[in-house]
Parts: sequence; C-alpha cells; structure tokens
Amino acid sequence: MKWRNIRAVLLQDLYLTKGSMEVIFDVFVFTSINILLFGFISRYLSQGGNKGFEAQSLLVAVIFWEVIRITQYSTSVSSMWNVWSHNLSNMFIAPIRVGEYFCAHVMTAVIKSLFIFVNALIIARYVFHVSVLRLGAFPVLFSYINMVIFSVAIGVVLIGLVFQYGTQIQVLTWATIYAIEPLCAVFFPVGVLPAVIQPVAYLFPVTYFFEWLRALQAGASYEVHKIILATALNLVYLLAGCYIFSRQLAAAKRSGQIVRNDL
Amino acid sequence: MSETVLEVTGLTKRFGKFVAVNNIDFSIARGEIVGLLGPNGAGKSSTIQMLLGLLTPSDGQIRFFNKDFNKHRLEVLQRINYLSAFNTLQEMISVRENLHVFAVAYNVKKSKHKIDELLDFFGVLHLKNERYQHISAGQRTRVNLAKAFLNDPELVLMDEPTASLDPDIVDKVLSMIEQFRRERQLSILYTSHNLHEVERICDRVIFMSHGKIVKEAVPKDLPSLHNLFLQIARETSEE
Repeated sequence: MKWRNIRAVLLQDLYLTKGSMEVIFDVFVFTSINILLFGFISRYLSQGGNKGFEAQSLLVAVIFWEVIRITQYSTSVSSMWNVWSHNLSNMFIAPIRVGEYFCAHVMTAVIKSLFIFVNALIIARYVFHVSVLRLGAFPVLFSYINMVIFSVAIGVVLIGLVFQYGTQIQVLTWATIYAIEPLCAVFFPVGVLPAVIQPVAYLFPVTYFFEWLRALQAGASYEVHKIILATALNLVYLLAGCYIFSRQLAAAKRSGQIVRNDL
Repeated sequence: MSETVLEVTGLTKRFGKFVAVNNIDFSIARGEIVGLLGPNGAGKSSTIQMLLGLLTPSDGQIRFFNKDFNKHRLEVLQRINYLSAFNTLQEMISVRENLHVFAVAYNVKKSKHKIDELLDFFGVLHLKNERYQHISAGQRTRVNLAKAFLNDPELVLMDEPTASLDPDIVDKVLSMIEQFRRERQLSILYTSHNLHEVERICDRVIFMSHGKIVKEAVPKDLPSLHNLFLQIARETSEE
C-alpha cells in the first residue's frame, strides 16, 4: 500500500466533508442532536423513579450506537458520493489499488467516528453529568474499537452490494444498520427480545459489547469468555467482509455493473 | 517502425450468451490517433472499459507499452488516462480540489503549477475555485481534459468526449487535442458518433459491428467516411 494513494482519497474525503452540508449534517449535526435527545430522555426517566443506571444506559448506548452508525455510513457512503457524481471510474482508473481506496475511506470513517465519540463523551459529561469513562478506560476503548471493526465489515459488504447489483439498492448503504439495531440489543437487554430471536442477536458481535457496557453500568460482572468470543467473531466478520467485498467487486467487473453504476 | 503503445489480441467479452466483443485484434503506435467507430452496441465502449480494467475480459490479451496489463496494471495506469462525456468529476467539490486529488494519485510534481497550467491551456483557469456542479457542460469537458492530461499520459482513451457539446465548443476541444498531440508524441484511441470529428483528427479508423472489427481504413484515403460508415452499418444489419 502506498501512502500517496491513500492520501489522494483522504484528500477527496476531506474536501467532500468540508464542502458538503449533507455530510456535515449527516455526520456531525444529527449525531449531536441524537445524543442530546437521548440525554434528555435519560434525565426524564431518572426523574421518574427508575434506577439511575437504567436511564443512563440509554445515553451510553446511543453514544456507541452513533459510533457504529457513522463508521458504517462513512465506509459505504464515501464511495456513493463518487457513484452519484459519476466519478467512480475516474477513481478506479487512477493508479490506486482498491485496497488503498477503501483503506482511505475506512480511515476517514474512523476519524469521523472518533470525533463524534469524543464530542458525545463531552456532551454526556458536561450537559448530562454522565461520565462514560467511569465504566473504565479499557472497556470503553475496547468496545469502541470493536464497534468500529463491526461497522467497517458491514460497510464494505453494503457498498459491494451496490457495486454488484446497482444503485437501485443504494438505500441499503445507509438503512441496513437500522434493521440491525434492534437485533443488536442496543438499548435493552437481549432477554427482552422474543426467545426465537435471541440466538440471532448473539450472532452480532456488538450485542455482547452492549451487554457488557450495561453490566458495567449496573455494577455487575460480565463473563470474559463472552468478550473474547465477541472479539473473535468480530474479526471473522471483518475478514469475511473483506473477502465478500473482493468477490462482489470481481463480479461487478465481470458483469459490467460497476461501469453502469457510473453512467 | 514506430513503437507500439497498445496491442490488443483476441479480446473477447461475453455476457452470458451475448458476445459484446468478439475476438478483436488491433494496435496503436506512438503518436497515432485511432478512431474506434461503429453503430450503437458495436462493442466500442466495452472495448474501452476492458482497456481501462473496469470490465474483466472473457478472453484475450491487452498489452500497453509491451507490458501485460494484468500484471502491470498500476504501472500502466500511471502512463495512460481517460476522458469520457459520460463520466464527470466529483460534483460537490471545486475544480481545483478535484484536480488536486488526481494530481496526488498520479504523483504529479509541482501539482499546483501543473493544474493552473492545464486549466489555463484549456481556457478554464478562472473556474478553478468553482464547484464542479456549477459549471457548464462545455466547461466540464475542458476541466475533464485537464484531468486527462494531468499525468502527461502517453496514451489517452477518449470515449465520445464531445458528446452533447455545442459545435463551437467541439471545435475548440478538437483544436486543443490537436495542439496537444502536436506538442507531445501523444497517442489517442477515440470513439465518436461524429464522423466529421473522426475525419478531422484520426490517422486511422477501426470499424466495429456486432463486437467484431469489420474494417480498418485511413480517413484521408477515403472519398467519404460517412458513406463507408453507412455501408458497413447496412451490411452488418442485414447479417
């Protein structure tokens, strides 16, 4: 991988981010609004006689959920901006490897998610007096890293689907994550889900991390082997995501769909 | 004999049972402009897409600068470029930002100077801070030309570069291409539906129909490229 080629794509992402109100609103404004909204809901529920940690867990959950949403969105939609501008062919005929192109988009996604994560931690701490870091630097950082890995894995497969099947399914690149959200038990314990769906929830590695974070807030313990299992599952997701994407891209080049997307 | 910059052998593309490009062979010499002509669906665009690595061939070999494209993809892409009326640059960012991205990707030295020089040459320097989405079709073509020449390519693939432009703009664009070709030993593979354009700038034309090369000719040796084109289109539609 050449840093120069990664830098070219990073530059495009930077120019797009600063020049597009859509990106600024999608990534930064809506995230802040969401954090504020859930912060107020948490505060309201705390006043209703509920245990404080249950109400606060909503705020903590939405902070990590936004990390997933923004990382997946950035990984997938960065390429959609090139598809919408009919510029993808230009990018792919420049002397840039596909791996470099996606590495740059993942780096942009991580930078954006880190920015909104820190921003959310500050809002939680100083507006709602909820210190997420109180849960421990390691669990918070380790959960953040795993949320990012999961989102990248999902993000590359979703953009691969658009490359392979065309822009008529582009909605998947920003909407799929909302379908996954209830299955990952972001805002409630897995036990709340119908019994038949609970095993499905545990197929998503981030489910374990949301459970872990809730356990930490309740002052309860969480089994270490589940964290190890979730991390391993996450790495399988990432490897599988990269492999599936490479097959999707090869199929798109065989069928010509990648060029039709750009016309 | 002049150096061959592109050599295509047995190039074939099948989509299921449909054969879009059928076992074609051709080459382009350094400094030569070759027109690729044919009716809609002849296989011109599929050929160009395979030459760029955007479409995987079913069979055949592509060699640029005597190197196998499959094995030397990045090295080849560094030395060629592409221009099409159907591809635009990133709409949401400025002309200068767009060209800067490609200047970094193509490792262009003194990129700021190079970008200004090219925009000036194509008469669009005053637009460099404009958002790409805010400039006209003719201006976009000229910005795209600047992008296509950013890396001092030895070969440029042009897929109907003047489609949907006003005639006066087409004339300007062709003059610019001719000037560029004179100043450098530039080779071009040029597809167009406009036979006057092809007659004006191409040294040689290749006619494609139903995915096959059906004729090669030198425009200046022909009494009428237009009549030949109609004859080939008629013959192939009767087959």
